[in-house]
Amino acid sequence: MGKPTVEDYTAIRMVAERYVDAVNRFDAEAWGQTWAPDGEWNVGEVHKGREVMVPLWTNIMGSIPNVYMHVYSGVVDDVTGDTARGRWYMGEFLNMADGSRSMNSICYVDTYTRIDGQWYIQTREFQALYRGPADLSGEFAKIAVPV
Amino acid sequence: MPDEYTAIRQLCERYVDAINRRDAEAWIATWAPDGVWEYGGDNPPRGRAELARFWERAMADMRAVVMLVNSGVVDSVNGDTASARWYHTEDVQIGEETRMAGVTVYEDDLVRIDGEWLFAKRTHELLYSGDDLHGDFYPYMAWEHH
Repeated sequence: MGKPTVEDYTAIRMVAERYVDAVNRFDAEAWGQTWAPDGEWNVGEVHKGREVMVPLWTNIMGSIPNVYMHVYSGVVDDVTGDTARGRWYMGEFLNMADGSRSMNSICYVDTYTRIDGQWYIQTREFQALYRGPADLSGEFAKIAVPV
Repeated sequence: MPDEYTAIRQLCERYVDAINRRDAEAWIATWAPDGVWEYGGDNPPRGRAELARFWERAMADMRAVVMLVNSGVVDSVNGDTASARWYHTEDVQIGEETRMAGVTVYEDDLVRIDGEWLFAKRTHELLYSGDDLHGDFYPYMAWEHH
């Protein structure tokens, strides 16, 4: 276990914020660039590799009229050499094609790899914390963080 | 670029802090002397004197405001200029009746003067406004990827 430097924390935070910026702009190339080439995206099932994830993401995004994501808070737990572990709490303002709207709170539980001085998402596991309307009448879930 | 990112983020967080505290002087101090606020209406204020007059008018009817910087990206830094964009959530009460929750993005040009980053231009874009998300979403017009 290695304590992250301020620079490591900031560089990894920048990746998390670039990720949501790519979502907000529907920018598949920028989204793909946040991942390691062999990254793994776990959204219930695991999708591996940029060449698999980017078309899948583009397909999902094509069915969503509006989504605006925010990075709220995050933690970088551990930096060991060129690998790191962290998680980010995010908000999601979502308008689906069927007209349903929700203001979700989610957590991404991540690992990262540093390649040529740049941090990339190696694995990202989606966890819903709250899904539903902004009035908090929806469903809450407990976060499960792998140790 | 983490150093520039953090310095520019601090400027953005000082900006919303000044709004939340209704501190005109602190808000004006985030702008370059000839800074331009493209707020989405006519006659965008240019320069600190016009910005100060704009602030007086905008704040006169603002009963409550909570503005937060959430995420952002610093796209490029070239010497003493930079470009960035920042996503906010805003809760406001205007007058007695109007309450609104919003999501905004600001597209920024920045300039570094005497070692301090300042806003040369901020361009406001509204991405969502309404109440309990029953309101209207707007596409992010500055980007064509949608």
